[in-house]
Amino acid sequence: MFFPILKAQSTKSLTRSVGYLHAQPKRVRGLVRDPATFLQSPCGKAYDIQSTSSLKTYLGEEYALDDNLLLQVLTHKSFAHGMKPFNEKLSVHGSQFLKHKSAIHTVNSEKGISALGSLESRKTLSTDILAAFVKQQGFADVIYWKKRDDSITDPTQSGENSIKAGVLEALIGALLVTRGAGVAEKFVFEKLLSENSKDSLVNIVRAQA
Amino acid sequence: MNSLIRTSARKSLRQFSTSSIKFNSQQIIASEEQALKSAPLVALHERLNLPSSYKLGTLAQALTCRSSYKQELAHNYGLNILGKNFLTYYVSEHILATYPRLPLPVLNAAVASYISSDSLYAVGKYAWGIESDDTTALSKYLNEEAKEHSLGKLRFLPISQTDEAGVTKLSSRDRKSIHPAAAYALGVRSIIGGLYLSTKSEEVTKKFIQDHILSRKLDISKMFEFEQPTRELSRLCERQNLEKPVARLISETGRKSDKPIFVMGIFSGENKLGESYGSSIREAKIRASVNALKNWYLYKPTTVSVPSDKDYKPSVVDHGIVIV
Repeated sequence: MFFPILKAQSTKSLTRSVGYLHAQPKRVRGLVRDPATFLQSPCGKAYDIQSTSSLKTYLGEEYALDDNLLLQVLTHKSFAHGMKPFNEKLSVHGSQFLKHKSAIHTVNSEKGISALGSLESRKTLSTDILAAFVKQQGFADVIYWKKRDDSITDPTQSGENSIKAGVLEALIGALLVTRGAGVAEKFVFEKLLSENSKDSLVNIVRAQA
Repeated sequence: MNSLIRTSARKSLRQFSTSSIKFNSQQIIASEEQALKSAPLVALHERLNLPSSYKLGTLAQALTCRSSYKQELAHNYGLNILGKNFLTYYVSEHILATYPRLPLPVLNAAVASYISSDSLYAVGKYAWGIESDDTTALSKYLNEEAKEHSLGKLRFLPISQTDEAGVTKLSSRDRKSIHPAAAYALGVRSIIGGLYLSTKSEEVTKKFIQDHILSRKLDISKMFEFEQPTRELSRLCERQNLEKPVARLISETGRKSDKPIFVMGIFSGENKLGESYGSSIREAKIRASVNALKNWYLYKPTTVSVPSDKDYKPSVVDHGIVIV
């Protein structure tokens, strides 16, 4: 049998007050850093809603998304130790949707089901091609992430390509979650898989070949 | 006389194993006439309630793995990829719509619980009753089994599970041979791929996945494992701009006995985030933190709709897991 305590324990909690002693440019161990020093992209762009403008312009009215969601799309898990909304799950959702629609696109095309799993089909959705697409559209500079090692400059080794590919997948995921499968499908077919669009993934693969 | 029988048997066996069904040199799908002669194939088609547009030949193709000895028959490689994409997307869409805040490792585990090879093996073998074609060509010949009979069975080259006593294996494992669970998973995925190919309808395929794969019960709440629940909860409250979580004793009994029970609650300001019990205050506090975290991660919208629904209503967009 339980005996409820008549008087609840003190509701006050101790709060630790931390004084900011911003030591710039060098970091001092034990001191809280000024958020402005680390809330920026590797290219030096401050973490700000204004930075989504290039992505906003690219999407236009047809595929418009909320500014905060766009900022989340551009933010990787490694940024600010995950304290800002990041794109991990949007990216997973978008990646699966892209693969799903790409398979349907291939099956319904002239190539048919035999083209599924082919080298060209796999290359179209590869990390490098998705990263090339993001770079081409010009919103690579405003991607917020933290390099594990600043000395690595090769984008395939530093994880940069994977981060860029993740942003494109997250964009598809964001369209899917907020606008539904119809809009996301239109975006995928029109912007990514169409042969008529010169910037599409299919045409990037052909150009690289 | 004996030699005559042996020669005749060898000739028939060769015919059976290499050209049991007359096909062209190209890999082709078995014709409907041939497929209709396979009782297991017709029965499977009926059992799965597949539409009439789903040809028996396509179903036979879905059951033919690349490692099958019937090389002349079209195999299920492409159908498997198509089916896998459908399965992965619709299963994860369903889980994400039901639990929008589910952490990615738990989401992956939940998706795997539905569509891993072992799960699909159980579906294929025990729910759908697909048989594997594991009788030898000699047995088939001696049993006078119809050539088309095996079209309704799963055909693959299995990994030899046991070593024969006294037999030394000289060659390495055949690279094409696969585990039965993997073969069954290929078959199930290919049947789903074949359904889309036959109907060209995403709605029909989605319904089939809902009926056969997502209809199984899965308790996601048992998939969580927190290393530092109190710290994670504190971090979560900080990120969500909530007041710091405070543990309060709600009730207790038998403090001085050998079996005390404490009931603790975790509060953020006036709001109770979680509650649980324990044989010590510390245990109860940790359990209450876990309860609070589960309440957060297992949030479920009142009306669940998935993005592929026509009347889809957007729900919560998750900000990501808490990194401790």
